[in-house]
Amino acid sequence: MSDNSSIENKLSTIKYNVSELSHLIADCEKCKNCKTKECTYVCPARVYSVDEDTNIIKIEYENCLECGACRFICPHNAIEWKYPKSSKGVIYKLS
Amino acid sequence: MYNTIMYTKADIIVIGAGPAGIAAAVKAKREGLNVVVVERGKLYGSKNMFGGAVYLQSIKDLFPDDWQSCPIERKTVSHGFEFLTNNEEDVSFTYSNKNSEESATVFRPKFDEWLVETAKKEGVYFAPSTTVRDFIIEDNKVTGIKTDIEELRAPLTIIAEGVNTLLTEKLDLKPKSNPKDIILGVKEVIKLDQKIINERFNLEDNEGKISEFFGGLDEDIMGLGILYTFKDHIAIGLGLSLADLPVIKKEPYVLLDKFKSHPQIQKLIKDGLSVEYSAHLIPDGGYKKLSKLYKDGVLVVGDAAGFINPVHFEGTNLAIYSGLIAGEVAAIAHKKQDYTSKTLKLYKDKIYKSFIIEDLKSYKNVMSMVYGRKKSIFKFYPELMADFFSKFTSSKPIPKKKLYRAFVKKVFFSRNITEMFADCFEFAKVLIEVIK
Repeated sequence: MSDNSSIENKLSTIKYNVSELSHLIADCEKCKNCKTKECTYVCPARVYSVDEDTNIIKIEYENCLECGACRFICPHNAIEWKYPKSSKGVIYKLS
Repeated sequence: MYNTIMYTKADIIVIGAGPAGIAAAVKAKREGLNVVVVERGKLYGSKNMFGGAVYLQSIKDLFPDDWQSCPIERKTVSHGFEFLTNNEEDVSFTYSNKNSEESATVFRPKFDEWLVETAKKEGVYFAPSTTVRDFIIEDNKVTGIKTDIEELRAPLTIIAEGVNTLLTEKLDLKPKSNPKDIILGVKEVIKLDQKIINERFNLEDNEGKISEFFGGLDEDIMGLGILYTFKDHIAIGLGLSLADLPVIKKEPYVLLDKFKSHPQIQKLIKDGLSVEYSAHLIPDGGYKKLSKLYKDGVLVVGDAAGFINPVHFEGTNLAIYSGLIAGEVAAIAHKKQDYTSKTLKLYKDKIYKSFIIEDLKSYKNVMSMVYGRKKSIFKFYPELMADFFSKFTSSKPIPKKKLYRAFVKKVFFSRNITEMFADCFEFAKVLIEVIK
């Protein structure tokens, strides 16, 4: 796992209107049995991380950039991917 | 904010206020139709991201009277192709033309906002903060949309939802894309004094440079570096093959930092302040992976359809042209009062007769070739070029022919010879396809 400061600094430059509810829901059973955990390598916002004790996927949806990379990469179709509620989520200013 | 009466009278609903959706809406409105564009963002362009430049001809074709008010940052007068190795070496080619008017950098939030405001002047209605979740389907025809708040009906819906094709998939117009057919773009916008940008890139105030970087990442990944100049910002980023990331087990932001720390890149961005990080996907499947373009009551435009030519960084222009064609066909369907596939097939016919498909067809194997030969393109040849020039510029007191022989030996024998035949064969094959 990489050094966290790299991504934390990057994410701190982005504006969000955070929703109270997660728009990303992972199927815990499927994730528990997933050996490869592709989502943790493709997400540009480090939304997905693995709890080393329980092997459960942790989702920090607040940081999501709504790109959809996790949805396309997951070989188990384990991520229920929706856009955040209208007007919630990332707000790019200089993209 | 809502004017339900207006919306219920809509002849067309467009999903997504990006270049494709707006072009479709504007064209249909000009033909006399009532159009509403729904957009999930509260601010236009706030969900969108791209490398940084638009082709100006497409803007002129979309808004012939208003294109000059487009909020451009710098007009591209210089396009660099740089080949990096893992040390301080760098081989680069630059095409410069001070009079070029082909493309210009824009920030999407400003640019998309401008597209919306210009379209509004022509009478297109916009509904921001409106996320579409599903369609209304009656007798197998799409007759409207379901948003977070309400249902809206119209005989025709134009899908301009972008690369994350949740809705297009819902209608079985395409399967979920294979990660091999997707590029993940990550970039940082870096604030830098206008004068420093001018000096560093040899530019005047309104002139811009775009650079592409091959190599330098030292990873087994298809990864292209990009740099765009804005008035007092530069964007530095990477286009990465989504499928490769879990294989090399490196996160995109780690690779971006690695790229930024390359000595050749470092000197371009030094003293800058990173002010926004962003990420977005790019559909990369090309001709073979296009979505179906129509269905009863539906047309698909722009990224959602897969209209991207990554070799030439064409996306927004193809979005605009496909949107214009969709708007035109919407008007024909309206006149006939027939929104079934029978009439909407005309959209596909027109798209297939346009340069969009002509190009996508001739480029159909280019990206899979690049993917297949990524070690050659992003590692072997950049290093070989640097090696050639290091010998060419060498002042060692040894006969030149010795140096050149060593170089030739390296070309042929530093890796399995079949690799070179594969490169030649694959390059030639796609080159012939493109020009034949």
